[in-house]
Amino acid sequence: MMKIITSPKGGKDDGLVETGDLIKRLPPEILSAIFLSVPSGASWAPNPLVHVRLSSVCRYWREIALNTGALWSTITFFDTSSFQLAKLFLSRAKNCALDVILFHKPLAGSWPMSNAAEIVLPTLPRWRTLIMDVGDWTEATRAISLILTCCESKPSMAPRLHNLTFATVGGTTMGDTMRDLVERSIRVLRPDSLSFCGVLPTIPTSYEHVRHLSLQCLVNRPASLSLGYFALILRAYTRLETLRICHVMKARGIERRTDSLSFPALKELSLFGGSLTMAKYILAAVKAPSLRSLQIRLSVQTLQHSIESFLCRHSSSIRELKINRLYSHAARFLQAVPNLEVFALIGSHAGPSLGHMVSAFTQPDVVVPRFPAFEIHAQVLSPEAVESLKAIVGLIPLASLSIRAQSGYAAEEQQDRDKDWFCARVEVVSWNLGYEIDSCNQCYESLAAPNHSPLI
Amino acid sequence: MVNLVTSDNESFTVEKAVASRSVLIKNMLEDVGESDQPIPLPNVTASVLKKVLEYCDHHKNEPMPTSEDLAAEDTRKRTTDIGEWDQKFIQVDQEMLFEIILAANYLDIKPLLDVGCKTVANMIKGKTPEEIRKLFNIVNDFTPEEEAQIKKENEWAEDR
Repeated sequence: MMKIITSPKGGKDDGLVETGDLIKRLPPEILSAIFLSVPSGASWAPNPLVHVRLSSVCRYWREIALNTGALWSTITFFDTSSFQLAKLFLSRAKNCALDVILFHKPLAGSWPMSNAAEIVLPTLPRWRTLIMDVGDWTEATRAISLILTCCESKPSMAPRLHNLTFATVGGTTMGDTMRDLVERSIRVLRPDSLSFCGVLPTIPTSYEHVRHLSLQCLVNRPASLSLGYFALILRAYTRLETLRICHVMKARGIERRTDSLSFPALKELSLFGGSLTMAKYILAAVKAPSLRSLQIRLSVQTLQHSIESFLCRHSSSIRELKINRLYSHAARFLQAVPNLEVFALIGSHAGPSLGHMVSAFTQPDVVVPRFPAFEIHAQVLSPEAVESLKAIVGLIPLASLSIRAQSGYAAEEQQDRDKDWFCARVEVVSWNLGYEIDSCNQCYESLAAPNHSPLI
Repeated sequence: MVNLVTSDNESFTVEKAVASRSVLIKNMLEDVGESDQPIPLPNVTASVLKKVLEYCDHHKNEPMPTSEDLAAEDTRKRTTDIGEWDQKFIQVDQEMLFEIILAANYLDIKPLLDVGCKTVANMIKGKTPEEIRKLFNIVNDFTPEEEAQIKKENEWAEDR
């Protein structure tokens, strides 16, 4: 511990310091870092007003903002009225890597996406992300064709794309032209990470370069997504490290498949909402010996045998388990993964799961599972949930605890007393009872999800 | 133990593990080797160093961020999440907040600098330019011509 040995002189100036002067003392690179930390909305629809406002405070801030290229690196087009702002951002982004978003507002009229693509085309080698809204079929096709033709005719222009997203709100089906174009896009742009949202991906031969795949809100439409089709899609991505399946809906009836899906490099698997048959198939078929993290938001009660069997098969590698609900089988799930480092409850109500954990762990002869870090991310946290959590803290020697709920559960004094209770027994990494969902992590899913089954 | 001397000539004796959260001090210690010589910190006052050392002491057992961590952070979307203890720690007046940021920058304590920057970013979040000026006591020094250009840019951005 530290100790003050001498204090011969007085402290710092006693004179009043104006805050305006203080903030001006921050070196430009720090003020620039602050600007980059100001949240600007969802990654697929950032709010440009945030950055424009930062450059509108005073001359010093404007100078720094205008010299912070990364602040202007997301170029969003949503109709022709956005062209001027996009050009302004492009001119200020200097040589920074760019995130290009061609967005089609739901229920809005058609706008010339290819004109937007022409504006950003000269910067093609600097593209880091391309989010392509394919809701307006014809315009999207023109814009993608333009981009791909440029890459193919001048290979030096082809970007090293980190992320390529094809999305549409509300779901759509892909015609043959679009299918070909999507496949060509993946082949030419070679993204590290690939996302489909509300739109069916193609069945490729092999995409070994894709390491992260996200399939969201694939809907039940004429070009339906059967399990066989789904399995074929997944089989093409042999080197996946991350697989996120969210609200993927199956169109046809129950299909029994016994084939397996092998992902030797897969480290993270997320299954959120959607068809239970699909989830059951994934849990039975996936073989991922390197899997470290499993996230599940599903009807756990219906799938408990599938989940338990999956956990047992991956027991030695899994270090992180995030689940929306636990029932009376709580102990079995957690005992199946003995090397667990992080366990999280991510459902809307944490109370029932915590109650089940307490009753499972206080059964006679039960071996109480151990995991150092416990996280709760719930919409609602009840006083009963907090009491159950206290019991769990008494049963499991936790190293850290993180609690995030969207609202409080009691009077502030009571909450403060509870917080002190936990702080005295475990390191409370986070205690946030007014938690806002980080909009940076939201995706089209938040718009498209109402068309699908609710999260449980 | 390491002896640190502030700009206002106060001495702090701290564990090496605590002082070494500062990359600047860590490098100095490595350069000098085992020595009883005090390390002067001419850019940090005692009141600020006391606060900075409180942070370093709390985090002394955590792994230092590697260059890979820092590079990964640059490519990832930044978030404004701050840990519970850090949030409480950084609940100080604006003057102290900016002094901590400056000290973290000088002493090269990246995680503390991040906490400071995120705290200021959270203060700015959702505010209009006028509200930001009021919050930090900043004078609007734009010329009428600059104001006209800024107004136009804000209108374009509000139009979306």
